Amino acid sequence: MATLHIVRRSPHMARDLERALEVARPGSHVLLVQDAVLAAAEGDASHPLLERAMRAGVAAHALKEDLASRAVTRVGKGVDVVDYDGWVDLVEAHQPVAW
Amino acid sequence: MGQEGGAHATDADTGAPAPPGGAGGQGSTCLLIRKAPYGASNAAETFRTLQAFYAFEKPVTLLFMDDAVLSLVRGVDPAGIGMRPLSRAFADLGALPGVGFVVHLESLEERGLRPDDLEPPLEGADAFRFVRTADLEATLASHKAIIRV
Repeated sequence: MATLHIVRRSPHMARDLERALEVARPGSHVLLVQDAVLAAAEGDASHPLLERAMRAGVAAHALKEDLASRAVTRVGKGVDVVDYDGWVDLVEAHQPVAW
Repeated sequence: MGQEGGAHATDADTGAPAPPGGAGGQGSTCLLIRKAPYGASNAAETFRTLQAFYAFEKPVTLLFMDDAVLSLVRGVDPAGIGMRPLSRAFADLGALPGVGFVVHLESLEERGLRPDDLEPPLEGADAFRFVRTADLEATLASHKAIIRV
């Protein structure tokens, strides 16, 4: 079962996203929720981290409600936007690790 | 499996993501510990959580990463801030059946530490297992559940 890395804290305030993406192997997934969705924003300084991981075969997801509540309207190419039901589906299908 | 740091065993260079000694594998739980030991109550929470697993004879792995590796450094003296050193207490837990230790090697190196700098496990207890970032996900995945403490 592939691993689902769930990151909550802002990439500008904590190293959680960096750590999770270091640990993630090709075929793994990362789900950005709460302030971590900032990394999904096109143009955010932390977005290249996510782009590199996606190029390496890590699937990226971001929670729609958290994107909307932080005014992130332009999500980077390749980032899958999911709702709460999608979050549940991801957790059911993978081994979740919360950072 | 090579030896580094006396009683500490390391297979970090082999790439083998096998479960740690005494824990890991199907049905076991991993406690992912990342915060520094003396600034908050995380260490106490870890002890309490571990007691629950031990009481119910459930195998558990303590995985130390980021600032949490400081929990295991020997020779610390936190008496000045009203605390007791945790490293000996943590290391002694390795003597409990079903309790395993995993330490993230890069977290040690980023802090200028080596396996030698850690409190050695009790004689007869399973050695700490040192894992590099590339093998960490496989180590996590070898557990049924992962709890961030």
